[in-house]
Amino acid sequence: MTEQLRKNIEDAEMHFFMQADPDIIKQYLDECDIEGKNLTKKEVLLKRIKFLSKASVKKQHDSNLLAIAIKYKEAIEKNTSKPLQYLRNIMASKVSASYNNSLDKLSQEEIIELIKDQNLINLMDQLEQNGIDNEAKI
Amino acid sequence: MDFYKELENTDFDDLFDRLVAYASAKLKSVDIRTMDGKEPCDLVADLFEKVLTNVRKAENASCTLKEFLFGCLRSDIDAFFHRKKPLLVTANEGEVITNPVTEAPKQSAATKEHYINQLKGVGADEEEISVFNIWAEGITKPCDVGTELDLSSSTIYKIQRRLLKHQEDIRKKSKAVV
Repeated sequence: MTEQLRKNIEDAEMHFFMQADPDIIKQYLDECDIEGKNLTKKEVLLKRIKFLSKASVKKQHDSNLLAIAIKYKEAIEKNTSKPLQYLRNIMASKVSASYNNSLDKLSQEEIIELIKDQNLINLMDQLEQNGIDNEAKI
Repeated sequence: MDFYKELENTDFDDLFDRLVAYASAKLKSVDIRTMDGKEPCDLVADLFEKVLTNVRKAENASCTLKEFLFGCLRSDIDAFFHRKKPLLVTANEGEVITNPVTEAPKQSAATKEHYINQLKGVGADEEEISVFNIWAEGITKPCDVGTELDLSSSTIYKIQRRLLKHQEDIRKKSKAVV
């Protein structure tokens, strides 16, 4: 068999397992005696994978929040009007929270608290449009 | 790839099953059930862990998360086959067999026509031969193969499932000859 034909067969095999209907995959696992035998083990492994995935997403989200909070501090220092107005609006909407009345007294943690429920991509875009450098990746 | 968005939207149960099935098929192709003592589900779990803890960096990959994981798994298993080249020992009986996957191309005289004859010899039908011919042209994604043959992807999956079984029969037959 030529090397190219061998590669094509292997590519086809990989694409099959990537795209085949879930029932066909289950059927294959049943036939290999994998599904039933390793069910408990699979549950344990999957639980760990899902936990790691959530942790990874959370870590990235926290890192983005911090990056944006730093940019807002910069906007406060530079007195860039639009981002500051946006922060004021968020502060005004959070009636139950007790924040400093003055923006320049907001701590990084308070800014994070203010923006954590907002759409971070929109915030980044807004900061970028107003000349605040964006180094965070969302 | 928007790695973190993909993580949030991934059906891990489905992806895990697919990767385990793929790893099992690859190992089965050389008559082994474990790789370095690890079962397919362990191999897949290890891979996920490396990707999710950034040991293997998926963030900058231009493909999807699913494609990235399949690519990594294929490369890991192929690397193992090459390390163990030219001989692999079956897990069951300690029997030594040649490895058809890692055999150097010049060692195998089989051409496309020869392989088609082998497929026919183990009972492959016309649909399977048509699919195999499309693969030989380098079209390997089920949806593209379906377009070429004017068949739905679901039909292609079923044909390909039969083809996989017949490929396995060919391997068993060659092993019996050895």
